[in-house]
Amino acid sequence: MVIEDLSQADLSARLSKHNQDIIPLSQERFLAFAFDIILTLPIYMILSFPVVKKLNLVQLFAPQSNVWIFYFGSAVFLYFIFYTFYQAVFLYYQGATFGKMFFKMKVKSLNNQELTWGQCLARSFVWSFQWFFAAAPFLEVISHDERRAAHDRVAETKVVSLKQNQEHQKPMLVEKAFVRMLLSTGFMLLLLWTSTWIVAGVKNSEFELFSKISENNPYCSLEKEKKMDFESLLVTLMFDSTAKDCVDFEINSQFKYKKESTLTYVAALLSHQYDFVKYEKYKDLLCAQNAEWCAWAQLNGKFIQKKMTSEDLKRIPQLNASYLTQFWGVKVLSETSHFNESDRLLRAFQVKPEHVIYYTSLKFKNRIAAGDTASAKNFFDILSQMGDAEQLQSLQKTLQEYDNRVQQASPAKIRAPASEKNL
Amino acid sequence: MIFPFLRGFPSFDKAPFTWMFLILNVLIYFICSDVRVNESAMRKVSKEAYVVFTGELYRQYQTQVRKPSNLNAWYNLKTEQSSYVLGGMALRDFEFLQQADRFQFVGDPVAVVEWKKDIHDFIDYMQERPITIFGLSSFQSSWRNWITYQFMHGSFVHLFSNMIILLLFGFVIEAAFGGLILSGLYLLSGLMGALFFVKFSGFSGAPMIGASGAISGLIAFYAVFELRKRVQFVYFLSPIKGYYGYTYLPTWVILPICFATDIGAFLTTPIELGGVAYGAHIGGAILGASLGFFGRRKAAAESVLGHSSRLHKLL
Repeated sequence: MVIEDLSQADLSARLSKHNQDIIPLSQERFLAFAFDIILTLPIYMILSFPVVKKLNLVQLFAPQSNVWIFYFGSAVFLYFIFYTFYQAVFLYYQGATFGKMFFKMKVKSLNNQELTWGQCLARSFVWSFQWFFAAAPFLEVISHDERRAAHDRVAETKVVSLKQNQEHQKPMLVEKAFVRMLLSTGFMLLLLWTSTWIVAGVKNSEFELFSKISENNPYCSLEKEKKMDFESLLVTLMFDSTAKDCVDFEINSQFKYKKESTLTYVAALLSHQYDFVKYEKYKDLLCAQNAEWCAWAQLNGKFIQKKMTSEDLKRIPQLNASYLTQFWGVKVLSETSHFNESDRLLRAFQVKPEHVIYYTSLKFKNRIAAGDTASAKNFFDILSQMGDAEQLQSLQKTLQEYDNRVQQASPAKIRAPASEKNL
Repeated sequence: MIFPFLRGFPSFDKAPFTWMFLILNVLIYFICSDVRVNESAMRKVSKEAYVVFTGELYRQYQTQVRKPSNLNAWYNLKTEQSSYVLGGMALRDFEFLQQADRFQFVGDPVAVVEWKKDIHDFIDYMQERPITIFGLSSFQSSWRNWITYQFMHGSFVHLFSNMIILLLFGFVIEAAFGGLILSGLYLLSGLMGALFFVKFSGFSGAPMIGASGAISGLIAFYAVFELRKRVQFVYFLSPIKGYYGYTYLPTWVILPICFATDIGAFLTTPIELGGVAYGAHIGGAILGASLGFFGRRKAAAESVLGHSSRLHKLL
């Protein structure tokens, strides 16, 4: 009897010859998985249709809500349960899922015995669970020596190919090292991304979705913080400092909940003042409500269409004494180069704190136009302290232009600009 | 991707009725795609702000007129997103569009008047489109539309995919049972598909078009009639050699491949938001499968008596 020398260097190679199992190609493993998903997804949809149907509805109506998170989580959980049992049952009875059968693969126990229920369930559970880690552990199939990822190692199983003419497909050393490095980094990043996504999703969701209707104007956060009333908001719209969407939202809300007033129509007029057809329609509605505001609407219409006469300008101070119309009058007089009249009107009313910046800038423009540089610079200094960067930049430009004109033209001309008009 | 290839594509002389159906579908598609309709109304109502506004008005209509129970939560959710979705539903709701003129909406009076005018233009536009004239919808639901919708297609991809399947399945059915049986099966399946669509898929203003219902009937008929026969399937899993080609599988495999997705999608897609007429596919398939089942029993009885069916001779 010849006793074999077990100290030989090629022992492991010789031992592996006894193991006739062929390791399948990694791409076949992934294709089998894709095949399984395609086959099982419709069945899952049929079995869990109440949840998936609800998820589809929520996805459309409230995609960023806690309800969506709930239904999405439920749908994922159900698929987890469904797929785990699908895999376990097929592994126990057939030794392979549909996809594996199609690609002629089989799951075998390491001890070469029949698969037990425990092994099948453990393998399926770990396989499904890996999806909660962005499927990263599953990708070990690419780099493991025997293409045994976490689920195979836990259940002590391996996947073998039943194809006769296929050769072993072990990964190369470089491939193995590269993939492992890539996977560990990728896994950490994915874990970080997933946790951030979950935290952000929960944080941003609308928690009281069905019990509370959100009435917040999404466009008017700034104005809400300042606690501005509606008329003051319209003044800011007049100076193009408020987003039109903000005012439109307020107008719609007032119409929708039947809280409309004369000011609602005034706001609608201001919001649509460059659409003359709509402007006329809103004007008709306003005139049916209030004669004083109707007069203002007619004047504003003429101003926008640049058809104002000196008679119309004389009517401005006689308009109703509302805060909005007075500010509007100052602006119109200033823009039509009636600076003295504008200044006179400006002195006549108490400006609200939120509009001091418009008030001061109008003062500044009027003073510049009147050639009163010292006073204009005072107003500029006041504006500098208020710190509205954009407005300051524009005013600084005006001041610069004025200084340039002073240097180029005669002093007499500057003091009494040709553009100044008197009513 | 895997689909049954059966006996491949036939020449005209082998399957004249199948080819006639195909030519009819293609001709109608090209004739209708050449009809030009003024799209300005459609462009106007498709704008996001317009759809949102429509949704806000639709919410009022639904809560006051229809008082829905299953979607109450969604009608009460007054967000822009939900208004947008409701607006999309509103533009497919022909009853709402027609009654909108008489309904007193609460809202910006000028905007509401303008909206009503635009909706008038939109209804006119819808009624002028060939797919509305020949398709089956709440705009057009006369008996003619139950037939004509089966020959209309919305896009080239829609037409192409349907015609490929028609050629494959029409050929084997025509070769075995003759052109008249094929024609009857095509039309009856289409009618059954329409019935399912009307009853279960929400009969909206969006027209249903396409030969899918009729073709589902052909597929189901063949799959049930030849339940265990192994036929050729073409598969393409990857461009790498060995991952595409053909294989022979039992005919019953066609049923889950073709209809499980339809049933799943039919059950999980809310009726109000249905885009694809899954109900029509299922209706056609039920008729086809039923006829296939009775045909199979008849063929079995004939073979017991010593006659073999034409299909068995052929295949």
